[in-house]
Amino acid sequence: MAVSAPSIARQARVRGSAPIWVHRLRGNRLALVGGTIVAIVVLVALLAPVLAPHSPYEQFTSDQLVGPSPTYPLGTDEFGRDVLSRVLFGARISIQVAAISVSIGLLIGGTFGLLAAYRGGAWDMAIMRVADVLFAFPSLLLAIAVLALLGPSLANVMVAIGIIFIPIFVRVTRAAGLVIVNEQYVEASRASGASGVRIALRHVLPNTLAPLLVQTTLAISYAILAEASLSFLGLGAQPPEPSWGSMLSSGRGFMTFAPWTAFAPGAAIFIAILGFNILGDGLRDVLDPRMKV
Amino acid sequence: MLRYIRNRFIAMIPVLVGMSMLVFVTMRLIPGDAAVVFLGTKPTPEAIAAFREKAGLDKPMYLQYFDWIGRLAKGDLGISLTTGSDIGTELATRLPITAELTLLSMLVAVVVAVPLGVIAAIRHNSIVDLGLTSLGMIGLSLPNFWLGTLLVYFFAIKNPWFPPGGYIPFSEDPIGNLKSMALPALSLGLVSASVIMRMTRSSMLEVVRQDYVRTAQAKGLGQRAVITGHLLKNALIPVITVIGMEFGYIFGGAFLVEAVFYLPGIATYALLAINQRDYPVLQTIVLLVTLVFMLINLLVDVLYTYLDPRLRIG
Repeated sequence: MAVSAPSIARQARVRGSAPIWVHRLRGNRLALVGGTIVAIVVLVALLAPVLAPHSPYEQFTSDQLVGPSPTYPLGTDEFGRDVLSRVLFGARISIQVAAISVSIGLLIGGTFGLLAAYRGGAWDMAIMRVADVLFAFPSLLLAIAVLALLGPSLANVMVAIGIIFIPIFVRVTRAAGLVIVNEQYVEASRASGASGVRIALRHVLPNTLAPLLVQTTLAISYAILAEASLSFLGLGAQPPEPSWGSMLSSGRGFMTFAPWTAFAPGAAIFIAILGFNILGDGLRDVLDPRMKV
Repeated sequence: MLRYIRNRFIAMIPVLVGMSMLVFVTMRLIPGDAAVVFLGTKPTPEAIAAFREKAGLDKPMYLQYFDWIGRLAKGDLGISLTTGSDIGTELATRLPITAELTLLSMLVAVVVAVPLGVIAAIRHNSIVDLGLTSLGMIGLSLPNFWLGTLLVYFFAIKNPWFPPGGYIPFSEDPIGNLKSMALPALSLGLVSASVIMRMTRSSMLEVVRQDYVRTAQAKGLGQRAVITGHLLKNALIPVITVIGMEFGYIFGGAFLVEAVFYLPGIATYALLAINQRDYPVLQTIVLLVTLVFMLINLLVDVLYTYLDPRLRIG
C-alpha cells in the first residue's frame, strides 16, 4: 500500500531536528521563565511611551528627589524627573544597544568564523591569530580603549561592544563549522559541484545555528551589562539620555536621602540580565544536551 | 614541563608585539591633540612645536613606536603628558591597590564558590541544590557596581560598619585597610563566586559518574575521602580554567568598583588618562593589563598540565 505523501512529511517532521527542539524548549522550565522575563523587558522597551506616566526628560522642578508616591511610583531624581518613566525608557536604550552590538559581532564574527572553517589553511591561520589578539584583551578594557579612541557616545558604545563579540563569534562559528565541513553531506554537495558560498550558507550555517543561538542570548545579556557599565563610567550614554548605567551613577550621589534614584535603575539592569541569562541556560540545556548536567 | 613553559612564553611574543602596535597606533588616533590639552586653551605655535619635540611627537610614527618599545625594555615607562610625573612611579603606588583588590576579590570568590559548588553537587537535585543554583544565577546577573552600591547603602550608610569609600594603606593601618577593602572585594568577588560555583558544581557532577569514583566507593572509602581524594582533584581542572578567566573579569570589574569606592588604583588612573587624552599613560596601562592577563592565562595552563598529566604532551 502506498504511503501518502503528507504522512511521510509528518514523519520527517517528527524526526527532523527543529520540531523536536521546539517541543523540548516548551517543556524546559528555565527557558520558559527566562523567555517570559525577556518578553516583558522587550515589551517595556517597545511600549515605553504608552506605559510611562511622564516624559523621561520632563523636569518637575518643584518635585526634586521626591520619594515614591502615586504620582511618581518610583520617586523623582535630582532634576525632578520621574524615575519610573526614565527606567521604562531606559529599556529601549539597553535593548537597542544589545541588538545592534550583538548583530555587529554576529555578522562580522560569524562570517569570518565560517570562512576560517570552510577555507582552512592560511585563511584559518590569519583569522584565528587576529581573533587571538582581540581575545587577549579583557573585554571591558577593550571596550574602554575603543571608546577612548572614538569618544564617549551611545553609538560608539554599540561599536565597542560589537568588537568584543567578534572574536567570540569567530570561535563559536568556526568550531561548529569545522565539525560540519567534514560531514559526508557537505562532501556530497561539494562533489555535485556546489559553490563554496552555497555550501557555507546551505549546509554549514544552518547546522551552526544551535550553538550560535545560545551564544547570542548570553551575548545580549553581556551587552546590556557592558552598556550599563560604560554609561556608569560616563563613557556611554550622555545626559539627559535615560540609560540605566548613567542613572545609577548620578543616583549614587543622593543615596543617603534618596536611595530610589540608585536602586531602581540597578534593579532594572539586574532583571534584564537575569532574564537573558536564564533563557540562555535553558536554551543550552535544550540545544546542546552534552552541556546539561 | 620547563620546555612547555618556554614554548608558551615564545608563543606570547607575537601576540604581545601585535598588541603593542595596535595599542600604539590606536592611542595616536584618539581625537584631540595632547599638546592642546597639556598647554591650555591658547598655546602659541612655538610652544606647541617645543612640546611636540620634547614629547617626541614630531618624529615619524614608526620611530616613536621603536623609541617607546626601547624605553619600555629598559624599564622606563615614560612621562604623563598632563602631570609630567613619571608613569612608573605613579603605577608603583597604584598597582598594589588594584592588585590587593583583585586578590582579595578572588579569595572571596574561591572561598565562597568551591565549597558551595561541592555541596550543591553532593546534594544534587535536592532543595539545597536548587537554592544554591538559583543563588548562583542571581549572583551571575548582578552588576558589580550595583551590588557595590547596595553594599555601601546597607553596610556603610544605614549601618556605618565599613567606610563608604576611600583607601587606607596597609602599612598605615592594617585593620583599616582590610575594612576599606571589604565591600569592594565583596562586590567583585561575589559575582565571580557565582560563576565559579556553577562550574564547580557541574564539574563535580561530571566526575561523580566516572568509574574510578565507583571503585573508590566500592572498596569502602568514606565519603570524605572519596570527595577530597578522588572527586575534587579531578573536578578542579575546569574550575581552575574558570578561575583564570575570572581574573580577567575582575580586572575589568576593577574599573567600576574602583569608581564606586573611590579607590586610587590603576583603573582610576586609566579613566583619568582617557578624559585627559594622556596617551602615554593609557597605552602603558593597556599593555600592562594585557601582559598580566596573558601571564595569568599561562599560569592557568601550567597549573592544569600539573593537575592533568595527560595534557603535558604537545
